[in-house]
Amino acid sequence: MAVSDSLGAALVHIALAKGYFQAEGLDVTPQVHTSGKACLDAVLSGRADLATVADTPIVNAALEGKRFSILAEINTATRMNGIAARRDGGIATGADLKGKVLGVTPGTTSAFFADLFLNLHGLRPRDVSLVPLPPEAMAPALLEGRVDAVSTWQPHLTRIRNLLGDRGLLFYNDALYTFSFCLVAREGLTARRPEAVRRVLRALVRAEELAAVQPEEARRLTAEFTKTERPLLDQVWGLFVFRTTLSQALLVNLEDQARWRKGQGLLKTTKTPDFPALVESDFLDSVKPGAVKFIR
Amino acid sequence: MKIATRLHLNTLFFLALIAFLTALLAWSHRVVDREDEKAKLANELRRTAFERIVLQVEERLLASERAAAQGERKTKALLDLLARAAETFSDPRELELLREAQKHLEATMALERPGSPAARDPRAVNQMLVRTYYLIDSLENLRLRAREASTRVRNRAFVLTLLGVLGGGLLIALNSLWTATDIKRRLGDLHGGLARLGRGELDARLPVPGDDELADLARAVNRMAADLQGSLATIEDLNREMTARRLAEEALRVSEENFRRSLDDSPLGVRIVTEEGQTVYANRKVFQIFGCETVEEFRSRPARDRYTPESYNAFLQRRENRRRHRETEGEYEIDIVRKDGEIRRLQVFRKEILWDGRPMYQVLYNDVTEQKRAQEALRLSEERYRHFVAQSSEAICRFELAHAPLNTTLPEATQIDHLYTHAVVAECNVAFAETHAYGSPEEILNFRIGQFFPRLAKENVAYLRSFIAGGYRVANFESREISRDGTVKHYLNNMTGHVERGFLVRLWCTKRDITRLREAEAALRKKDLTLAYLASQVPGMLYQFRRRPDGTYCLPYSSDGIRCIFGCDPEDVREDFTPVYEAIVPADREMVMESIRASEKGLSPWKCEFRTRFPGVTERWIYANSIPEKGVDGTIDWYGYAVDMTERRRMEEELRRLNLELEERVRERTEALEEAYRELEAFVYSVSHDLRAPLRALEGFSRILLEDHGDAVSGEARRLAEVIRERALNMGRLIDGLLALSRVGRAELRIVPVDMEALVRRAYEEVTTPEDRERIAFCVGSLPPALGDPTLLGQVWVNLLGNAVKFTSHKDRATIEAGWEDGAYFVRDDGAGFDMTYTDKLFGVFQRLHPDRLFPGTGVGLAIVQRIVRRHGGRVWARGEVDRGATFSFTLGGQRTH
Repeated sequence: MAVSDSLGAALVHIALAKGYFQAEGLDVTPQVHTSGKACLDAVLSGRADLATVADTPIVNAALEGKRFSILAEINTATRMNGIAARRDGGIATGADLKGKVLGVTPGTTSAFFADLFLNLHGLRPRDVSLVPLPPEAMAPALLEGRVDAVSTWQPHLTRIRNLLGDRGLLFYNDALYTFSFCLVAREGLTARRPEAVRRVLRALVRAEELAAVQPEEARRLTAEFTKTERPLLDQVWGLFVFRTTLSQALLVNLEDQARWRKGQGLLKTTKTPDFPALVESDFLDSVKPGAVKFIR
Repeated sequence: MKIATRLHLNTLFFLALIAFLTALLAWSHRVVDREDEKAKLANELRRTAFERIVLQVEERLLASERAAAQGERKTKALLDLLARAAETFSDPRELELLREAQKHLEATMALERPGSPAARDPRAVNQMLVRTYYLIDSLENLRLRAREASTRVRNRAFVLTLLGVLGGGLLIALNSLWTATDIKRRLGDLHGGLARLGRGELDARLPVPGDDELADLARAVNRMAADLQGSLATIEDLNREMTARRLAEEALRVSEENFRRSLDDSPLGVRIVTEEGQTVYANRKVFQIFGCETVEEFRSRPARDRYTPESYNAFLQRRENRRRHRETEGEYEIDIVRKDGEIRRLQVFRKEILWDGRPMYQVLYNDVTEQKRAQEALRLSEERYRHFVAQSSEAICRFELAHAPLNTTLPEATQIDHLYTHAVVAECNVAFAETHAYGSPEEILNFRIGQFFPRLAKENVAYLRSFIAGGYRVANFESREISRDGTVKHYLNNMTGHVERGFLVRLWCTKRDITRLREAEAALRKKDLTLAYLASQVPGMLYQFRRRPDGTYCLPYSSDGIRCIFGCDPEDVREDFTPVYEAIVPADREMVMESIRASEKGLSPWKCEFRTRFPGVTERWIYANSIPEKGVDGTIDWYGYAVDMTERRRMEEELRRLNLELEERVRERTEALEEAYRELEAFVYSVSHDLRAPLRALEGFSRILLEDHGDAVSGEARRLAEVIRERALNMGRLIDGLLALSRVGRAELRIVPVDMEALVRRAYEEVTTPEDRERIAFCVGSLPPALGDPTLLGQVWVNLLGNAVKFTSHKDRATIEAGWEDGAYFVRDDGAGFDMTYTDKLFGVFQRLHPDRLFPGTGVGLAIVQRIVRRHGGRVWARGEVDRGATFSFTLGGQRTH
């Protein structure tokens, strides 16, 4: 299982730490990656059977015509993404970004959110200088003044905020974007090993129960797995909803992002991918009745 | 507990159960109602959210103001419902869902607001839809949870009611069952008790457990039974008296029968005879003693056959005495002959009795055969013991305390005092008496213990202490005692006491004189000390090295020198060889062990040089030497010594190094000398040759001058020419001599046996003319043959004899003698002789003691002689006196004279 060390995959981290997979009779070998995109690549290249990945890499892969199965959302968050900016760079509102240097991570939710945010404030992408940066390079770039603002996700956002102190400020917009972290499977896995897939989901439902009933324990395990400083984790924990589900909203979100990508004009295809065909809801339905909310 | 109480309790249980169930139902109803209310509210929320979506769609599609107004109302209604729900729901997870829903609702409201991005960006519509779906998902989750909670509460109420009914019912049923079983059992007990009383068992009592109504009944029955029992007691006493009398009569009868039976069964033979000797009764033992089966058979054997002849005679005597009314003994012993012929000894008691009212004799027979045999055996045993004791070389003695037995509970010191005061010799053997220098055992009877064991000797007191502590038994304990003649002796003792009922009455003591052993030990100790002293004076160490049959090694003896050789103590290696082995340098260990094994195998002397190293010293070289000796059990002991030869080795090494150095120097010098010698030889040879040519010219030309031009030259010139020729010839001879000398030095020696006599004679012939031989009386003694070079030795004789002939030439009659004297060859003459003062010049080259004009010569001859003799390893010397002759002697070295 390719596992992202981001907080979005906390349910998998908890299930691994508590041995829920073994309890289900599964011998899971975790491959830890620093982003969901890398996890999805592992599945697509056949190096892993399962992956934890956010919505944006899923959309990109679907647009490239890659085949895989979406088994469940394991986490949603409305304040996952945001813009961190330097107050001393003359930025006080979203509109002040005009003419500034903005760091984004292409191919991830970072770029998508930046576009939405600029649009919300009546700006176009050409009104700012976009600089591609990996997530871990955002904080140094901003601190050293190489960029004026960065678009990234948690916990980097809060960490940058903490580092900048009074010199920095964060822009969120709850209504703009809802982040979804999903569990996806390699093409054909569900047909080949249906029972194993069910057991994986059962283990994650157990982890969800632990996160609801013993949040303190869940935080401790996640902090250990992701090596996140405990105070920082406590700060951002409340932003996430750790729940295994499959919602209609996910489909809308994925399609929205697909349209946006096409709108950028960088893709050869003009067809919107058939996302419902990628979703395999029977497994979650059998493991957790009532969790499948999307309209079939 | 009363039965009535139990039944009342049952009723109370039942009523309480009814009340509990009613309360439970009422509570469940309330809870279920509340949960249903929540479920209804959740449903309402979901429905309103749906309606709102539909209205939004209508508004978007148709831009209907009516739909917008309705949508407004629905949003408000949804907000109200959420507020109501926040008050109704209390579970944290449900509240969490409500908060999510509120958030999603607010997000959609923000997106719908006029001027919001939704108006500008179609993607905001997507986001609105996303949040709307999430809103519905949250509300759906809330509804599912509410429904689940409602179902859960219903189920719980059902289970509780069921448990109440079952539990309460079971309690009532159990109480009823228990009460019924108890009553049944108690009634059974009552019935049984009454039945026994009815059968007349008036001492039977009913059990009275508890304090209920049935217990009261049992107590009343017991009281009634006790009353009945009291009234029957008198009748029973009468019956008991009658029974006692009947029993007494029966006892009398049995007693009489038992008397007869006891006679029959008596262990003694019992025989009743009439005054006439007629047997009227004989018990079983009599038959047994005499070997008969019946009284008839007994009677049928006449008295003569029943006794041995001696006993029969005594029997006749006793009968006669009785007949004459003489006093006869009532107790005596007889020997009888059994029917099977065995003779047995009987003790007989005879007395008069009344038998069936008539006077008779009762004769009792006690078979004492076995007793007699035992006594005899005892007597013999005792006799043997006495002989044994008397003849034993071990001193044996018995002390008695018969008059004052020793209380064994007294303190030890008191007991020792008592023994010294009261123990006396009751018996002892000759060895005991003699070892204490007494003539016989009788002499020391009644002697006290202190007369042998002086109390002053500590070991004696210790001996008695050990005896007491060991439970009046001690073995191999040493004592020091004083004999009658005052000599002190050492004994090894065993002593055993006989204790009767806590009192010591007798002591048995055996002892062996070990004085000599002790003396020998002392002598040995002294020898050991001497040996140790000697060993300590010996450089290095002395040792006894042992290989045990099991293959292990040890050093049973090693002198103190082991500390310097192996760095350990003699004690360390007495049992184990390891400390020595470990002191040997590891590289040498295998070699040492190999040499030991070789010595073991061939029982050959063991010699070994090896190195040791131990803390505090530098590496040492040790030389060990020993002789092995094999014991009968396979043990091999080596006796020998080991010395530290580090210093000697160092010196040897130094010496070897010096020798090598010396040899090298000698070799170098020899080479240098040989080189110089060779150069000299070459020089002499070449000079001689080179000088010859001008000489020959001088001599030749002067001769030609004289012979061919003699007439032309004057007298003086002629003389001078002759002198020239003469001197040239002389010089030629000198050169010949030098060449000869040189050849002697160079010539290779050819050593063979040489006949010296023949050599002398040949030489004499060579150096003399016939005239000389007439003038000289030459005599040759007996000359032993020699080993040497015949040519060179011949030259020696030629030169010596030549000299003798020359130095006697001025005499008309001369004597020359060659011979062997005092281990040397010699040539003696009576010629001119020489002055001994110049002896050292005699053998030098060109050294001459006589003027040339008297005895011409070159001065090389004796030098040649000396060189030849030296080359043969010999010596040459001369004795002489002016005008009295000379003697030249030479030897050829020990091995050269054959």
